[in-house]
Amino acid sequence: MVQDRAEAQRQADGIRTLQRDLTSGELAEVLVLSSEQKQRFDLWAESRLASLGAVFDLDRNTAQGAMSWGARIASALGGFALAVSLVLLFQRYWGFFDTWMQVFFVILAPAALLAGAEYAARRERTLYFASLLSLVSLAAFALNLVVLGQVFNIAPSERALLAWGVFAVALAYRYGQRLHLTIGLFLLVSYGCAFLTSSLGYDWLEFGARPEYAASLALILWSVPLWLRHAQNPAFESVYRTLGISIFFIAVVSLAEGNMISFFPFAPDVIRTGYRSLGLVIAMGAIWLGIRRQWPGQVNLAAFFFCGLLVFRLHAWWWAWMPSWLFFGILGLFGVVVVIALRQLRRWA
Amino acid sequence: MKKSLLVALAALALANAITLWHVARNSAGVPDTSITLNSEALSSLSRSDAKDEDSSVNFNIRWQYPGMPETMDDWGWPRIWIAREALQRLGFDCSVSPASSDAQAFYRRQPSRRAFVAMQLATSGTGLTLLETAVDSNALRGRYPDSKHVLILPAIVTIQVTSGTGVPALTAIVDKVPTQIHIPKPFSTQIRTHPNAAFRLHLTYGSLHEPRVTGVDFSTPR
Repeated sequence: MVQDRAEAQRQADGIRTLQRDLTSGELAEVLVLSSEQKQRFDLWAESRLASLGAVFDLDRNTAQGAMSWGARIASALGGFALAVSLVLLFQRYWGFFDTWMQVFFVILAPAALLAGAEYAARRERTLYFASLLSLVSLAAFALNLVVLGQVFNIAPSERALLAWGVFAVALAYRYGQRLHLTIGLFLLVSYGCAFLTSSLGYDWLEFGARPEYAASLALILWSVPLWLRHAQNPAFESVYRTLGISIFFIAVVSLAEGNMISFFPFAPDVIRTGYRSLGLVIAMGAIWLGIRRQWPGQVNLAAFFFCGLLVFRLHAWWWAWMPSWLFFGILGLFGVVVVIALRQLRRWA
Repeated sequence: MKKSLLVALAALALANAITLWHVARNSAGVPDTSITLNSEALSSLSRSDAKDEDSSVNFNIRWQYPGMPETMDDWGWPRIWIAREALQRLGFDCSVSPASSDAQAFYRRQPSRRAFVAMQLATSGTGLTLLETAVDSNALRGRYPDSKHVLILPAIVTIQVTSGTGVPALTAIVDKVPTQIHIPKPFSTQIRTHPNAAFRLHLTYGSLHEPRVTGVDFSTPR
């Protein structure tokens, strides 16, 4: 039983390719089917395509696939634009309402938009409108807590990040939306960092100042698909991995090259050197693991951060005294070395 | 799938319930402070863009460090106004001499601390002056029991090395004091219809040190 649209699309594309190749091309010469076998295959292929098409709104050709992507992008951009519009509209008129009306509106808005998303999801298989409305609902929920805080002069709290994060992740699982999951997980990691910062008596808004919190939480995020299977949303596993690895490496790069605060009681130079080495080693490990497990997103990101860390170091060591042409020449040579190393790794995998 | 919809609805309901309960807690019981500010003590936060896109009325309460502006250094930061012991009581590590070459890096690496500040209202009602910072708000209220003229507010304190006096010394920057006041209806309508009139703003701070506007009265025009 196929649960995911992407998987259904892959299966349908495979069947159509096989159908085409069996009637024309090399395969038709190598694998000659009797008319009865061909009839049985055509029957099976049509019935399988029909059953997949009944559950998922599949693209029948490349042009339709491009249109679907366009619709997805338009849905996300439309969602963002409507969210901004909602906030600005409220801001324009809220001063003319009594407090109870302001409170009533901001509490009702996300619930009403969620009901709209739910209605849309039950009427369309593509979920473009459900995605758009749920994104606006998330913005309305953000507006909800911000306005309540402003109306009642409440000091800002990190707990709002938790509420928004949980809401966004729940919407992501409900409508199978990777964008919502990315936003939600980012909010939850931010909340985790802010909570730990605040627990130590510091200002929660400085949650970015100690990147080791973010790095630790990012590793937990990265590991989620290892112990939590996503049978219904297999594409979510790559979101966890991609976001986890991105946050982890951004934290490591900021510790290695920035002036961030570390928990380790060593001299700042020692800590920076440690994180530089750790970053390179982990990036290499992530590339190797990504190739082994066939996680292309992880391989690309880890390679990007590996090169980034190297470029930072080379710049710090050589840029001041080396002629610019030579510096970029060496960078180019490093690029060639990385390509050769990756090709070798690919062969081993 | 249905479970995730329930989780989303629960997040909505719970977040709003907790926020409204927080508001109720702040308003319940004996107020911490009841204070009256003149309009000179407030700076308007309304946006001045041509499109006039924000219809709310918000003000910021002006406050200053003790002895300001005379004690301000060239960068606009306060010179020494807080003792080293007070900084240590807030949780800062003051073990490195501010005159040492490592001092800037050492103190810059210390994160800000959450604390409370006592702020005194000028007798003319035209602004607040910082008196003291402490970790415990009750201890601060104990030392400044005048709840008609001294506000206790949460704040964020950052340690800093200043060389404003010529000799490097430790000082503190007080930040994120919740001085923004949202004016609800009908008071906002009154202020909007008399944009140039002087007024007095009555505020009540609850048990969680958060303000509520209890009245606005207009006196002579500016």
